[in-house]
Amino acid sequence: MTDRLLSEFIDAWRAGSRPDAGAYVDRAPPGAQAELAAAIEAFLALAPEPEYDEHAWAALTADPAIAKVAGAEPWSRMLPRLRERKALSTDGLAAALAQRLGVAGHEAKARAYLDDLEHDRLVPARLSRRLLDALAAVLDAPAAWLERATAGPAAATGALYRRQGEGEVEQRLEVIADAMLTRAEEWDEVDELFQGGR
Amino acid sequence: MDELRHVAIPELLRRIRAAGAAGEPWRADRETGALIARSLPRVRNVVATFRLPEDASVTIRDDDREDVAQDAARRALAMLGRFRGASEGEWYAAVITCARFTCRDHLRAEMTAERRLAGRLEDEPRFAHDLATLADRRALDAEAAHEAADGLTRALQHLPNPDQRHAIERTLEGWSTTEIAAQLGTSVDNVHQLRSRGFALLRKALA
Repeated sequence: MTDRLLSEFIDAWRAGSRPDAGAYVDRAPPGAQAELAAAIEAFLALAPEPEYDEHAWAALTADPAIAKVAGAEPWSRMLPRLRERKALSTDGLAAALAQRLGVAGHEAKARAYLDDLEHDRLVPARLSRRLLDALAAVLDAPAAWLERATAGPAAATGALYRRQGEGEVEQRLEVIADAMLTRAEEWDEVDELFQGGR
Repeated sequence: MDELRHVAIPELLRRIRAAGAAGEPWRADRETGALIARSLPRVRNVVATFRLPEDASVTIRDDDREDVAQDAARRALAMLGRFRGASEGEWYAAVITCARFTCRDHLRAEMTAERRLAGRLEDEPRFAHDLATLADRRALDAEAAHEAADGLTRALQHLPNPDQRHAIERTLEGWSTTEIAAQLGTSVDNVHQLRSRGFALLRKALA
């Protein structure tokens, strides 16, 4: 029976119908499941790609998981690389941003925020649209690409101003709560750029 | 992404690497999407069939499978910078290796957490050490991926039963079970068996 299940799986795979191996393994007798799982895994390591027809390809590329996997680069990895590509130090980037965003005189604060961003200490969803557009222009990278960047997995829990992955509503409420707790004179345009959200 | 349907994996890898080397990965954004789209069905199936080497009864819970599969795909992409392979076979061997490592790490982390909850801390240093050695895992993943690809090729060439090797090679070339049976002059049931036993032997080369 297990032999036949493997053949059925192989046929379905080759037909491009994206079979679920787990379902095939579940159909095998309990004592034979591990062996079938191992055989399927070996087949998958060697199997050529199926010929996907137009419909199968459309389904394959519409998978929402693709964006989740592809857009996962953290700021801590991306920003230094983009900066170095333009031969900019963090000070240099802060100066260029301050000039572009009309916050000259606040370079030190912008630099501190950039350092936080490079160490995954900021919540990406809180970066403002204006900041992302300015970063895109200075770093010569698409704003949409920057928008997809995430907080790195290595960010210490307590170091994040707000943890990535929490619900959008909760994040908005958090922004409002912060704003209410912060005295107006302490919250300036640079804070708004780096923490004001979009 | 329709224009990428017939672009071969080696060409996708070449474009993604070129964009990455230029520091402009967004230039190959669609190619990266196509590579992930093509790899995910394989990754999901490895996650669904994975068994912990130390205990074959330990599997990934249904509810966790999709998250683990996405983590594995991310891991494969992250490895790409160090990956030397260029062929479709090498890429998929690498993807399978990353998927297996991700499953193993997930299950071990889960077991560590369960031990901690149960107050059984005596095993923790060993598991913590195992996890710590994964710190530089991109390099390890790339190396393991090459070993897996080489190991599979060698294992296939050295399968002890020539009919087994023949059945597997023809299967991978797309022959049907009936065609293989006719060529070998044997029954369809025997081809099922040759294939099943052969792949089970090859799986040991992946371990």
